Amino acid sequence: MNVLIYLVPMALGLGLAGLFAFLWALKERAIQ
Amino acid sequence: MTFIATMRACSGRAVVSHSGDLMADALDLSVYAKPAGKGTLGMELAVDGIACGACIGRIENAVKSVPGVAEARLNFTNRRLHVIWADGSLQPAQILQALEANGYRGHPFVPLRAEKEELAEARRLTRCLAVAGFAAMNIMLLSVSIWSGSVTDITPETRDFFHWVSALIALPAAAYAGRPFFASAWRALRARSLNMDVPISLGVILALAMSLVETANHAEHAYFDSAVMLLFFLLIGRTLDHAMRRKTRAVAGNLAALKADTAHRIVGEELVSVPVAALKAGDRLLVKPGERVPADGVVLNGASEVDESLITGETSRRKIGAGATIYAGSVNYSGALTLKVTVSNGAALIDEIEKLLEKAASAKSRAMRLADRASRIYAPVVHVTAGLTLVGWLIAGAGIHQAVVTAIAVLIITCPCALALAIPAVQVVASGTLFRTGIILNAGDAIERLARIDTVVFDKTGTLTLPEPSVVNGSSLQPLLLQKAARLALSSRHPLAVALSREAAVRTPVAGAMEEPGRGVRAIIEGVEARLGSADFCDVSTVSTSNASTICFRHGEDFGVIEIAQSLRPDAINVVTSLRERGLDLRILSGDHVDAVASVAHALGIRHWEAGLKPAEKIARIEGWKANGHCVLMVGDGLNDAPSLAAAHVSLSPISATAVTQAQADAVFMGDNLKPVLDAIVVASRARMLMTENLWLAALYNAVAVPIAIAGAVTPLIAALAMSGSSLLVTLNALRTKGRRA
Repeated sequence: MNVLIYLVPMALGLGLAGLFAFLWALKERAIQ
Repeated sequence: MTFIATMRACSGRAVVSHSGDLMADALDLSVYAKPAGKGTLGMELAVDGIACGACIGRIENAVKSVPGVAEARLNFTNRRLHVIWADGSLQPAQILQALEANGYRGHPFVPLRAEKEELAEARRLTRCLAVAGFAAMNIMLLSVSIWSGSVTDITPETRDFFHWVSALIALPAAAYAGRPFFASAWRALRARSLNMDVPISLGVILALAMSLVETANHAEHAYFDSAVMLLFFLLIGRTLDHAMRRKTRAVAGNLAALKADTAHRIVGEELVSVPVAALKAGDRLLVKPGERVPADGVVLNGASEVDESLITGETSRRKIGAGATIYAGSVNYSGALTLKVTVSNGAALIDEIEKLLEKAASAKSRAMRLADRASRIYAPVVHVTAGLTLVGWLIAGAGIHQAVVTAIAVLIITCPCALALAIPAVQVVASGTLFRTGIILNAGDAIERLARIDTVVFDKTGTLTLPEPSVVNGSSLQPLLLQKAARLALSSRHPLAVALSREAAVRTPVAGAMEEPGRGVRAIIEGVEARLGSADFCDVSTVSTSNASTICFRHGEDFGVIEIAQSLRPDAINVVTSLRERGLDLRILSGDHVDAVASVAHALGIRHWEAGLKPAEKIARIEGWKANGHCVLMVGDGLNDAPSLAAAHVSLSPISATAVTQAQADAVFMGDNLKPVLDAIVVASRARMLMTENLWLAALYNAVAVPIAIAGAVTPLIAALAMSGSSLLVTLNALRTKGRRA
């Protein structure tokens, strides 16, 4: 159980990083 | 910007109480009202908030109910409303108020702004899709842990923790990614009506609220995953649909680009450059060689050849002299012309075509799409089912909690993932297949319309024949002589020489070639003078044996007469035969002269043909067939075809067509062959079959899942499986469109 305290935020953090990378790419018009 | 600010103020909720402001708005709006003939004014509005085909009737009726409005037509594809009213009978602001009262917002149409808004909408949908995708993936990971934990050894604390983390992701994600649905549903509700987004929004909001309550009560099940996945699948469908629709181009901007901007007006002895908009009937103009003719008029003096292909579709250049009529948009080819303007700006042939085009285009968009028809029945059915479930469980003696949970489960399970994906998925796969065969779709729903046609109408020039003329007697000439002639032709701009020059294997012009205007071109080849041009110039006597134009070549003692004519597309005969075998009624409507059309019709075995038709006459023929219940596919390339392309149920145009015509066509095909026309029809009928199949699959899914939901047996696991399963099934079924060609 204790290990979840680290793992869940880490997983979410990585996911969020991916999302922001995508949104940034969209903003910079790298993705049309 | 000031204008937009006033518009917002006008369309805000306080319109009625601020009626004093209306005068100021009306004054601003009147700038956008244009005379529409017979004492009427017309205005083009871009309308926000159109969700489905059902909105067409609602908007048109709302605007027509404003006293004084004579006509209101909504183009569903580009979301434009054209309103005509009797001059002085109303303030334009009233039209916006009528729209507002029904939950829509109108803006006077400015092309650039509409395009920007389309792009902004596409980006907004993609952002929502990304957020929903992120949230769905993360929540599903947590959910899978909970589900697998349920059969092993998960503790209630861990389950609650996972539920709270899910809530933390789902609530902001749904608030952000659900906006397109919530906003549309809110507009519909405010106008006291229902659309497909109402059950979606209700399902998502209720599922989230219920899950939150359940989590707080340490319950076993929460529906965060279902709610967010639902949004994710729906957003995929909506993004695909929007992307397909965005490809349709605004026509007006392209037409404007065809018109000349300035004209050389002759004032006394002087030449003054004036904007075309300032031209009046009776003005004398000078049109230099190579320039586009700025206005319809009559030639006073000068002689030249004009290229009217953009206007009439006739590709051979017309020789004109004093007294000839000339149209705006044609290109003056060889000599300077003085002309007298006969009609003022706004009444020229090109403007006439523009008007016909817009009218025909808005009439076409009224055909309702399959998905819209399905969704029209859908929303009320879902609400009634969920409502009955609630009432049924209460009557059966269940507690409020259980009845509400079951009703929400029904809403979630019936939410139209499969339905929303069924059609866009097939469209995207079919458009990919068509793209590989050389067909680019302009309109997303073209596939549906193509599948229903029973009549195919061809234009002749540039459609059944190749757009450019070519050498027709090449085989009867000495190859070496033809090569020399073709290479010499590279040095001339004359249309026949340009056609001949395409035969040249060596693409470098002969050094020292001299062109004598109106006669031909000459050069020294291998120490001997060579001449290419008229019969006199080459000292050759010709006897014309066919309709083809001739150009002569002499090199010392050798000479040849080269015939140049429009030739049929290489596979035209085969394609026409295959189309006939499919039971389609084939016809030719052409603006060209009778002899030219007759020979093509004869060669292809097309019995029904008409020649010398004006754009309005072509439309009249098509409208006539449509009135008799036929579904017409129009294939054409000239500017004169653009209105009939818009009038037909569905239209195709070759890539060589003018920009305006291409913009109007539902699809554009590439290459010299006519086969893409056949391919398009074959792929479209298959795609339509798959769309219908997909709708049935979606219906079947509901038939199985809804009873389970009504029975109260839907757990989040079942909801997730059912939703993903049905979406996957329709997507896989859509892939069957791939690789099927004629």
